[in-house]
Amino acid sequence: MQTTKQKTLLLILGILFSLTACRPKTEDVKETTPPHPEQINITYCNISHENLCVEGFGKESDGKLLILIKAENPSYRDIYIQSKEKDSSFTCSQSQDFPGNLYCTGETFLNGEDIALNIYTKKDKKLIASGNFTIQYGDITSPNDLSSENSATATQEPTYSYPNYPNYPNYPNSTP
Amino acid sequence: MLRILLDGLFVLNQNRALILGILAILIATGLALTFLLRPKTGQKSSYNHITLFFFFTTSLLLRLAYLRNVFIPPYFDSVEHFRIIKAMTEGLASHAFFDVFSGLTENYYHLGFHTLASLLAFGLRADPIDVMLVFGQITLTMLPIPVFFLIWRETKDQKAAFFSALLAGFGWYMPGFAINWGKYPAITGLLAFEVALLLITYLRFQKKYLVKNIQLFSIFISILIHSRTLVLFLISFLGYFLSRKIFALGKENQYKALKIEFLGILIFGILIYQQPLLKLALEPYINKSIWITAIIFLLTPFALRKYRQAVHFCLLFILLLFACLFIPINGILPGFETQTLLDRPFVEMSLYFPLSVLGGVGFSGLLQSLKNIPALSKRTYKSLNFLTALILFTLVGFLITKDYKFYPSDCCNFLGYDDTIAFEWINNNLPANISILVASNQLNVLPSTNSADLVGSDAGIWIPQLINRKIIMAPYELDFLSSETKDFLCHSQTNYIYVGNKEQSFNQSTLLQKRDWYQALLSLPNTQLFYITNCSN
Repeated sequence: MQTTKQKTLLLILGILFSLTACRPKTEDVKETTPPHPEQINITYCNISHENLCVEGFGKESDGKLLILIKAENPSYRDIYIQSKEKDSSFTCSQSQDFPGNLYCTGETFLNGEDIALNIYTKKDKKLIASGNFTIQYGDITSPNDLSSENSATATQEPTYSYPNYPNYPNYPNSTP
Repeated sequence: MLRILLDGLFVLNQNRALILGILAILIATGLALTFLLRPKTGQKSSYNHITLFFFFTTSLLLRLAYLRNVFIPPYFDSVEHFRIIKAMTEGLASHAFFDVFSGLTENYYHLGFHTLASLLAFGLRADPIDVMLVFGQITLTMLPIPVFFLIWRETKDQKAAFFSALLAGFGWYMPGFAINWGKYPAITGLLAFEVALLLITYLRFQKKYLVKNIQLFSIFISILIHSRTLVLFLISFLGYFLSRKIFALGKENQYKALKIEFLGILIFGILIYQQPLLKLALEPYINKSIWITAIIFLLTPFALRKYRQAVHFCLLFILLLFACLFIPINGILPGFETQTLLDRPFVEMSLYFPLSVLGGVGFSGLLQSLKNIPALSKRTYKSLNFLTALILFTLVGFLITKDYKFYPSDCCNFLGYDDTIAFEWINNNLPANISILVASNQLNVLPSTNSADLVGSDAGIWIPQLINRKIIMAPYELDFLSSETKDFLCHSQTNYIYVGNKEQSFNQSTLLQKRDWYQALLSLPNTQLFYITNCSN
């Protein structure tokens, strides 16, 4: 005969199992995305409080600009971008494994050039965000940029602060 | 602290189904063990469930904050864990689970962890990456709980139990920091070790066949999760046996034993400290958190008054842990000739356990010694007891909030935003049969081991698993300016070079200096991809 404790245990286990087993499949969850919020001013992610922001800019070997987007809100992920300056559009690709990370490819822009971005949803072509940026290719030096720099900069020694010595352990501790 | 808790809430909300699923399973297991194995001693639990729940929930949110901006489990170990878990999960889905084992490597020894993680991924229909990340943080959150119950059983003092739980969770940056190394099996193994020890301690006088079997089973599971926990069990049993023997001796001999234990720890400590690689094992406890370690040793004389056997057990545990760094396993396990019973990272991760227990019994010993102050009224004693506990909690709490890092370390979080974009770009623009050169470093865990093996040292190591392209590893210091390197790359039929953003990534500037050899295909702020040209020359 079961004691009250055993019955309680079975009941708790049953509830917990039901909670776990009845969870909808991940794909089902993904299908239900929230509606589009109002139009926002898009800016860089390190200063943005929005669910849609620009991480930075990159470029391909042919000079084409890559706009790096972070979209935490799933409703911002199926998008394309238009630039006012060159009246051209950028097609966006979503990372398969990390769907909140997108890159959009389009026209060539030079380092330091201004760009005004309008972001639209692909589905209903609704303007969801806009913002002005100055193209900065980050700290990297592309081969073309390198040629314009003086050779002293180009040939400088790499500066490594770490590892301190060649056989640095593979499990480094927190740096002081 | 509020921002960390909010980040934790954000992660909890994003992964609520998976987190609740894992918690449900763990809580159900805990409840089952509690109900089935509750000793019939007539004792009622007098610890504060609400405080324990608050401690656990706060810890969980703090731990989950770690995942706020993490895409993938950190460091190179995680890649292999992910590969195996993914294969096992797919094996479960296609009813070929046991066939997967044949594909595992020769020196495979985390069977229990990978099986557990793949069962979670399969049962909760979750991505193995998410399971690794979330399960790792939940395991870390759980680590102080068995320590709480161990101290509560020993002292019947819930303040001391909370003190030791606080130490076990956040006293030092270990074992929490080990998440940065992708040490998921070791952390899970430590939790399983603690739970098994708890079962053995709580039920040591029960002779029931079922109880004994469950105790043995918990040890077996723990060893399956991480084989090195076998050494921890041996240390525990030896420590318990010796501490009992010492406890049975006269007072004078007990103090002699105590001196020997301290001397042994000191000698081994010096030996460890003299070796640059081993020295790191002590860093979490004597570097940043020296004050917390000092508090514990200051509390030890108080622990000795009331919990002598526990003190001897903890000191012997530390001593044996240190000794295991020097005991080779020659001839015991083929293929591991150069290794010792425990490696440096594992000792570094495990030291929190004896120290937390020592802190708990020391705390209780201090509070109890207040009773011995002559001419102290009951009311004054209570106030003094409360005040002492408050001072210790505030002091340790202050040291923790000042020093503890709840977010990923720069050292080991390989995959950043730019890497995710670069991977997607490669997937969209480059053929499937290419070879990509990625940065690596030599494997160095023990001074005795040879450094022939290379391990990945930036996000490039994830390329085969995430975008199914072949990689070739090369030391991150590779000199791309030399013609030998160029010849090597051409002969190895490597087409591309992946430059990540870690300290041990390839040096981008050297590649840019040889534009006739290496063409920049993709340039992102923190990641670049180069194409190797003119190989026929």
